[in-house]
Amino acid sequence: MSDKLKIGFYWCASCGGCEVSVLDIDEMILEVVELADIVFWPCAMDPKYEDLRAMEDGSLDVVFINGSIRSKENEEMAKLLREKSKKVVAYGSCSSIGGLFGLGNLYSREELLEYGYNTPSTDKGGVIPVENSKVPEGELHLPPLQHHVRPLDEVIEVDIYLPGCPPLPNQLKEGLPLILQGKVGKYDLVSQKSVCDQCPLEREEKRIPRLYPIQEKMLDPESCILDQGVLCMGPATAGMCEAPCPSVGHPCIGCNGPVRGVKDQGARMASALASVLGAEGEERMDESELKDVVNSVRDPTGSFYRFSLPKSYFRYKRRDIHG
Amino acid sequence: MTSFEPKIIVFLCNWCSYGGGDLAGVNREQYPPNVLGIKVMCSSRITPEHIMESFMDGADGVLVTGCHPGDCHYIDGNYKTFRKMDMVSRMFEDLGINPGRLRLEWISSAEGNKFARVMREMTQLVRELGPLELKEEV
Repeated sequence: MSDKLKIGFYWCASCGGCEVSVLDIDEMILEVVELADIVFWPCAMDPKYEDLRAMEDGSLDVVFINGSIRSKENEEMAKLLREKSKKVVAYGSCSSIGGLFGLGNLYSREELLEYGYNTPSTDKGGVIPVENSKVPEGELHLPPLQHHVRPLDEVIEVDIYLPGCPPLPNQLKEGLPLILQGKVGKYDLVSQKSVCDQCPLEREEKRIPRLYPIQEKMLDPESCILDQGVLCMGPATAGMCEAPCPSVGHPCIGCNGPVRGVKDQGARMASALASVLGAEGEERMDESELKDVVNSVRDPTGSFYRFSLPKSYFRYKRRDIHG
Repeated sequence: MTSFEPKIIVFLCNWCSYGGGDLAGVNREQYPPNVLGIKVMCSSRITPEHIMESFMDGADGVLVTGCHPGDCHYIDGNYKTFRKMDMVSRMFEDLGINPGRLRLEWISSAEGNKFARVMREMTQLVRELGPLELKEEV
């Protein structure tokens, strides 16, 4: 037996991008393989769940789990991997903060299934998958969807968070060796600084009269995107990424989630935006004009919580509004 | 009839609305005891997190009060509050929380009767809406 570490990768409700991002570190993967044996990686190898179940508890050293918890299978596998592994890393935004799929929490599970399988844009009269179904070849079982998308730490205990959609090579090159050597704490890989802090664009301290949809603005590539009146999530987003999007003229969409220690990214963004928005001479405006300015922030829920809804205060759509 | 007594958190700005509340007391204005006041230096100190935390901790309604537009002790704090509250109430609608549970009101320190009236109205409205049930579903 080698004394190398044993590591594993697993995907829950995930797009697969995180799995690919592991290879973004290029030749450094060789260093990782030198430190550790990858013993479980359904995306790249062909292990069976039975093999994992047969392993002794705690026999894996580190497991990187990406994707959020959407189905019962996700939850079961997360719990199983927790038993088998000494350390669990929430890899990527989905498992750390819920991720893009978390926006599904603005609808009920039934509404989503109906929309996905039974609307004119798909197949009108389509078949909604159920847990058990009989086909000529026998009986089929599907893992049932749960009511909501949840981040990994609502199901199992997480040892290290590594958000990012997906985590970028610079994060991994710095973080992976530290994780494998056991040198990082729970939140050490979540930045305390925002994307704005690392953004190379020029920010003037000025008020923003109103926001515009990005397609209505010709953006100056040198100056702050928010200053120019296009919503950029930079102020409320953790900046481990070194601001690649604003650097090339695209507003930050908030994929890293909130900075370390902040619970609710959307709330922070609303605060940040409220204090910079507003035209000069607002004291002469009446209420409807003031409202007009703030209404230029379109879809605050969808924009501010694009990646972090399952880890916000409310987490999913509640049923307080009747009729 | 139900015996539901709503819990309402009221954030009062130090310079206007708290004075309004004082005046309501001096004038012996009647208002229900369901409101729990918290004094802050300025209404713009209230972040969306305070409001959400209040609801998660069992409040049925949250009322944010501040100086009238143009009267803010800190020049433009209440404009910030206005924008913040507008975004938050739209977020609440999307998140299935009745926006009626959240209210922004301008109360000056001369408006003791308005203070009492707003407290009565808010308590009445939240009583009709019923308790905020944030039942956990898995």
